[in-house]
Amino acid sequence: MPNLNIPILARVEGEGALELEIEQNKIKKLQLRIYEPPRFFEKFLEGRSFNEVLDLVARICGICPVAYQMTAAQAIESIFQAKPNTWIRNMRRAFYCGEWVESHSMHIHFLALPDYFGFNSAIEMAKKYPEEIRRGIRLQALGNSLIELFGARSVHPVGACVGGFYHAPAQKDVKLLIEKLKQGLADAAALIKWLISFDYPKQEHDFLCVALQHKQEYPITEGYIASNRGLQIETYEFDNYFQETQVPYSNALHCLLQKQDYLVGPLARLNLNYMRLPKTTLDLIADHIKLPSFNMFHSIIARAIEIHFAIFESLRLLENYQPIADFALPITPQAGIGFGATEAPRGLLWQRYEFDAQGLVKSARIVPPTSQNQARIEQDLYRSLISFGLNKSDAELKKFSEMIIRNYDPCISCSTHFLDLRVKHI
Amino acid sequence: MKKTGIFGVGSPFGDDQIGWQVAAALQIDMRLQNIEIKQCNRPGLRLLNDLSYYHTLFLIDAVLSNQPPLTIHRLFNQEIEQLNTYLSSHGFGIANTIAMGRALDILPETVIFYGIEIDNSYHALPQEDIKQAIKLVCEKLIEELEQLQLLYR
Repeated sequence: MPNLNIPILARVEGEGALELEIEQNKIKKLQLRIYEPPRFFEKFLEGRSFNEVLDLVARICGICPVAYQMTAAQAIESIFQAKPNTWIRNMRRAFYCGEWVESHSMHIHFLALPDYFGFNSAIEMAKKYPEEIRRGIRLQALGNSLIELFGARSVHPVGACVGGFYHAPAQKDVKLLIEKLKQGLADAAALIKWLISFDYPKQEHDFLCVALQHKQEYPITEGYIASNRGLQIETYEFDNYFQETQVPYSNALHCLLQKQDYLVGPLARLNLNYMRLPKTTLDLIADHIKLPSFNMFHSIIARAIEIHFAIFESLRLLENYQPIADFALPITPQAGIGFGATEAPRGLLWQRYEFDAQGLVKSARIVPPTSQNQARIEQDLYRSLISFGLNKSDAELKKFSEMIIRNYDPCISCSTHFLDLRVKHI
Repeated sequence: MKKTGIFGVGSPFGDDQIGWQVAAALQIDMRLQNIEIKQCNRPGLRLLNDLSYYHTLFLIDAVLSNQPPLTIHRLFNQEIEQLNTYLSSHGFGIANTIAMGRALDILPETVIFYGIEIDNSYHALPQEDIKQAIKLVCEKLIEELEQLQLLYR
């Protein structure tokens, strides 16, 4: 069976396919084809007012709109010389925590775990693990509630603006949410305890991890760009080190760090920043998982750790909440170029904007986490399939390849501004 | 004590608001004052958090299938799971949500879905036609509620 074709990647967001050519038990060709059509966001942002950018980029993704909005806001505010006050900074961090909780819960319970257990769907899994799925739904709803608190709704939230927010939530609403967050913390701890009890495939690869780092905190909304091999650069230096290229078989651009593939996402973040986690979170994994980890199957644990951290952090940020009058800074547009980098649930998200003096976009560049992971996914597949053994049925190769790809939680709709596997045996 | 509920499901985009519009029309009907009527914005799995409070639940939403625009579909309990509302693997549509509710054993005894077919090219349908469809669904719902003796007297 020289050719294996997985036509649609299931349980990933968007449409992609994998093509394999195997000759004499060696992989001759491996291509992750993203055929989700290009969406041209960078182009249609041109000519738009800065006031429109956050609402537009939120529509790049239905599951990580906050990430796109916060990264764009950072870039635009740097050009317009608007420095968020402490309240805005903290509330944006809480807003973003909601997205981490929601996105990670969705991935763990509805995409990754059905795979791990061998179920065809989360619905099938719910018949055997109803309490665990209910807990996952509670956590996802909690994340959505936190997003709604600031964003007015959780799908394509509309509450954030350049300079801050359109409103400050009422204290009574925050108090109600705090009670839910406290319950959520217990759910998150139980989730970690459950996940660390599983047996994971022992597949360690030596790969480059890239994430934001920050001198004081586990990075979400700001930091410098770092790697586990010594990179430490400011956001504006991205293009000096990272190169995006078009590959002929994919609509998603590939991105390399000094010609090398790299990982972004929860495991990369954790590897670079676990020392910044609160003790409460770290104690849950002590003696169970050694960090840093280079086993991509630990990504699910990394997500669960970040759920717990995000709930803990939002409790910390909201416990003494007071609404303020200055929930948005006055903004005066000016010409210039600005950069933003934040940690979307799936990893480092980088944006660059140029504005004219009227505050209209002259150019936009958006580098999503999933496109940064494309090259790494291909390398992982290459090595993992060889370890797995190529003398397997197409069905086994397909299932294994899908599991490898899902470790990365790719958001393919984002990566084009799932698995059609084609294997050719020669 | 469990209640009766009517959820108009939709989004802010064009005729996908039709479920909301049905809910809005029903909200001003005094015969329904003991029924909880909500407009839900792309609720996905969050719908599951509410289900256990109802013994009877009506869901109204726009539908895209191969039927002519403005066709009214009525589906009862497990029939709802036949709907193809799984437009994105990131989101759970009504069919998957109901199937999940069944797997978790948290569904109301009775779930009735009214779907209104919208144009499959996402062009807005004429407003007069939309109003007629809304009126028709409201009438059918009231008739069902009367048969179930759930109207306020």
